[in-house]
Amino acid sequence: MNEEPKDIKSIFAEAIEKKSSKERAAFLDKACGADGDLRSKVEDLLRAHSQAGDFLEEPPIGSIVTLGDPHLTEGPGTIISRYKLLEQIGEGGMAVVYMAEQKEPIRRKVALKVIKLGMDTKQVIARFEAERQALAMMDHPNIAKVLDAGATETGRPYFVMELVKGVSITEYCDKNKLNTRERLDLFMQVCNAVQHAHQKGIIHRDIKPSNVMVTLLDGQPVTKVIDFGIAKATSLELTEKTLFTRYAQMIGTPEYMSPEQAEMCGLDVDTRTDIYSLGVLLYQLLTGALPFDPEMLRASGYAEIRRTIVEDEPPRPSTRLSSLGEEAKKVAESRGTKIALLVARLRKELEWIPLKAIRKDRTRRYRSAAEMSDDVQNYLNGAPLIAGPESTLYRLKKSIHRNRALVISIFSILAVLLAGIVVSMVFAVRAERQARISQAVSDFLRNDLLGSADPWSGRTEGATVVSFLDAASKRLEGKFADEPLIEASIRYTFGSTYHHLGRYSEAENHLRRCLEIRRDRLGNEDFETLNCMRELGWVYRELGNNKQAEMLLVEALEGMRRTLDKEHDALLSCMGWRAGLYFDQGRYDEAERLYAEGLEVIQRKLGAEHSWAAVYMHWIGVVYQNQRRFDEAEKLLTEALDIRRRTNGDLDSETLYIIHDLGLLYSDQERYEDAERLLAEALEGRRKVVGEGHPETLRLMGTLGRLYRRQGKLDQAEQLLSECYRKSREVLGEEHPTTSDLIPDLAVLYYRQGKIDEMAALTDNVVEVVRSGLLDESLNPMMLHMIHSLGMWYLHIGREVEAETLLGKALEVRRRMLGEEHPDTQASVGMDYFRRGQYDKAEPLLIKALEDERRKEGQEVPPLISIYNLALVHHRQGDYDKAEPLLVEVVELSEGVLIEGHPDTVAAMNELIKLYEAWEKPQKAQEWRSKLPRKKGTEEQ
Amino acid sequence: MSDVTRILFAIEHGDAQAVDKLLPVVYDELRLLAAQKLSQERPGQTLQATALVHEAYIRLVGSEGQNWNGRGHFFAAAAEAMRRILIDNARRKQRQKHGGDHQRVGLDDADIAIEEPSTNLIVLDEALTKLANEDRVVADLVKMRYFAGLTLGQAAEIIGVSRRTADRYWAYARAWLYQEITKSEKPPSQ
Repeated sequence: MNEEPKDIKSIFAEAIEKKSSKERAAFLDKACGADGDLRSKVEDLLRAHSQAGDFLEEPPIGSIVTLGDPHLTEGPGTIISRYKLLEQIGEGGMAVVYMAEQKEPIRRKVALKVIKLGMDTKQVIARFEAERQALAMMDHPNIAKVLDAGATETGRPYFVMELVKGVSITEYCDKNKLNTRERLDLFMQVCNAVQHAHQKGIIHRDIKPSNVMVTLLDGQPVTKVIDFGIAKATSLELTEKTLFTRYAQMIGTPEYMSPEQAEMCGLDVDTRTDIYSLGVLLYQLLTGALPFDPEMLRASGYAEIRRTIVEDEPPRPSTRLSSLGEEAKKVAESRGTKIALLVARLRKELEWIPLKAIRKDRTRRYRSAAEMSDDVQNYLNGAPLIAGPESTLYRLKKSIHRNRALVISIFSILAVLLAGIVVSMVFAVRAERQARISQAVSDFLRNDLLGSADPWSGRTEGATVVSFLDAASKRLEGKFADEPLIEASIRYTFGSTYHHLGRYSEAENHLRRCLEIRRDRLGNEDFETLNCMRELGWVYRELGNNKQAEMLLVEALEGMRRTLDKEHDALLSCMGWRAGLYFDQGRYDEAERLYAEGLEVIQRKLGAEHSWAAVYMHWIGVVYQNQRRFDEAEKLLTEALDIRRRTNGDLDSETLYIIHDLGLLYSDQERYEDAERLLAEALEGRRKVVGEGHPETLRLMGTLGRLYRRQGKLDQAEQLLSECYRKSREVLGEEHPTTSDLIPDLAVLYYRQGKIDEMAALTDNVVEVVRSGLLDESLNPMMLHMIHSLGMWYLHIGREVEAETLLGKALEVRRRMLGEEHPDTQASVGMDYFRRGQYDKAEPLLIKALEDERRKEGQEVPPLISIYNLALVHHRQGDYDKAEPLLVEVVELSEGVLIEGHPDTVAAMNELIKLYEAWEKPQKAQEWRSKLPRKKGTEEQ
Repeated sequence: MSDVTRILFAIEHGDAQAVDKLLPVVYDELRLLAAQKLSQERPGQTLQATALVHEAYIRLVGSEGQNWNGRGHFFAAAAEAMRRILIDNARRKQRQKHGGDHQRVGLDDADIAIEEPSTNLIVLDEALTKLANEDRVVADLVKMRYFAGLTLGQAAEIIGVSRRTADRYWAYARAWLYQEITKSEKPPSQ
């Protein structure tokens, strides 16, 4: 049969390629010749070929291999050893769980878990036996005991456990809409259970929601961790042969698997793997999502899953939640809360707990389940957490390790940035401006540089850079003892970075030492020395040490003038700073002169239309504004704005500052509509560019709010100012100047609205601080004026204790600071007599004080209380004719300033009525009585 | 280096006995893989021989051997392994159908169920055995193409023939096997 297999093959092959039967026959005649046997064989094959259709073309498996019933042999009724299976209660990739009945030695119901996967049953049971004693020692209300193990008749391993009737912890929490607190309570039970097991030497290795059940005991939810000891027994040694098994198991629940487990160097898994899984579980309980998207995980291959778990940093829970979109709404709902609240709660520390637990490096996780539970308790108690963001240095190190190129590029940007700062400082000419730049720089560093490199960037302002600098500063000490100039330049870099991050005392420390070294080594006229001098001078100004600031800035400026080209950037910058100091000191002429000199250089060097020219014009405009040279100011600011809009666009930060200042100028000129239009534009721009909670946006909200208030749009003002105050407290904190500056603003507003309680709520703190004496050192005439006025208000509303504190403090400090004869002191003395009822002595002093007050320009609220007080003094002394016009004036002035029916207006009217009655002018009294707002009846007595 | 890689290298370097070592390893892994794959899936889910074999290759040899000649031996072994797995299953099913061994199916008889194939695998296998006696290379090609799901191009590369030759072999094998099967079952209708 097989004499000529090759021939038959090729004859057949050629034959089927012949187009027609005729051709084919001719071919066969030739090929087979006389061999009839061969010929018939080939013809049989050719016939078969034509009949075969798609024979064998469809593979035998593909569509035809399907999953058979994997547990066809076990089912309800099957008896396995001492257990009779009752019903199937669960099924996973790896196992089927039955409720089973045990008859002896005791009758009870148990859970019996049959492992589906193919594995070496003997080994599984041997491993289980090895741990059996330890398992038996576990006795904890939150652990379901594993009672027995064995092999089914089909040779599969099975485990017998305490039967837990309940649902998985995640399902329970979501179904019952447990809030965060309730979830944390349950979670702590889980921690305690795991801690107990760990103490007995048992690692779970497979903690996940389906292994943490919640059951009700006397109506109270109790967690039960099931499957202790099973994962270990069923995990196989790592050999090439068992890789599949591990892979298949891993496919089951990679989301909860620690990096060390995923790496499958399985020998080395310890209790910290459970801490990791607990972290993922907590993450899920809090956010409803897993650190890594399960769908994405599963879509990738095994190697990618492993890489993700081992390398990728999971997003912060709050970030993950925000990324859920619509889903997040449901998540919040099932926790009985709102998304924003949930995110805020997570941001406010809670999320650091799961993040600490799921760190890749297990030495940086919680050391035990108990520690993790303690930290949850800390959170609930409002105590400081053990967990926190990874230290910057650690993260930097790690990202250097991970991604060298990225980090190098970050540092090069940082270097460019530091160089850029020198140039940008040209424009930093006064405190506010300085603060703006610091903020911008720190935002930039935090968000754009480090933030992009690391999703766990620091919580506090500039924290990442600052902590990096702090750590680096410490290591700088003594390191360059032989290379003082290198030390000096590092200190200069650190110092100026600290400076721009607003850390002035650290900046001062570095810059001062830099300057010492440079003076010593390079001399006083060296460029490097002068540069450092200039920087340190401005830092002293930030620290409030104007004397030192001026000394250094003057020295630096003079040195630079002597040694540098007139157009040198550093000289320009130094001039700007020197001018800023003049500006602070109110020496506007000198400030203007220096700015103008700078402007002239810029215009000559860079052109009149250059964006820098706009900046200098802007600041000169601000000087004019402060000198109340409004027309000149307007001209400059408008021109600056034009240039800047053209060169840098409408949303450029400097453009927005110019708009802001121009708005303020219009406001000063009482051109409220123009002012409102500009300020609203600036606010809109800020919101667009830096967002709602940014200090700059807040500052603008404040400005616009004040403008509304000035215009008497009190409701709009209140809306904006109170929102601004709330946000500012939230974002910047109670102590921040932007926040505290809002207090007097809101106070004036509330005063005008007659909202006494709201106002007192704000100002009571002031009383406290004044009483404490903490401010005594730093009080200045301006602040004393505020304290005095506030004291008058407290007296006016009848809160004499507070009034005495404030008025007394003002009197005491004014006497000491300004001397007895100073008008302010005299006003205080006047109020002192007034308070004691010594009206004759008070009278001349109050008259004088009121004259001074009336002379003040641009007051939003006239000195109503002072006028009223003086009227009282006249009235009490029987000088009706002097009191009358004053009281009428209070009523008239209050119109449009105070809301209708304001208590002060009413008080003045009542006082007038009393006066006319005492004066025996009943008609006049009646006239005023009829003007009183409605509730006449009570007022008439 | 994994066991399988080592064996494949040994084969490459002329160790004839190594071939015998390869088959059991590949067979075990494929069975286990198939069983686990299937147990992960819901009933009714399907599975592709090609995917299975390639995955077994990646697991056993690793991706570094992607373009390496030794893989021909692996796929040959995998094809043979797949044939055995499928035939074993078909035999077992047949036993069950005949009311025979209704007892448990142990782990060693994986939980793979094969739906009634369009071709009677047992009969096919008998025919294939005959063909192998007559022409080993053509039979190997069938195993690779049919049981391991390789393309003719891949099979050609492994056997070391041209694609055109492989096409011819395949046509020949189909005709040969069809003839053999139809002859033994019933006379062809025509």
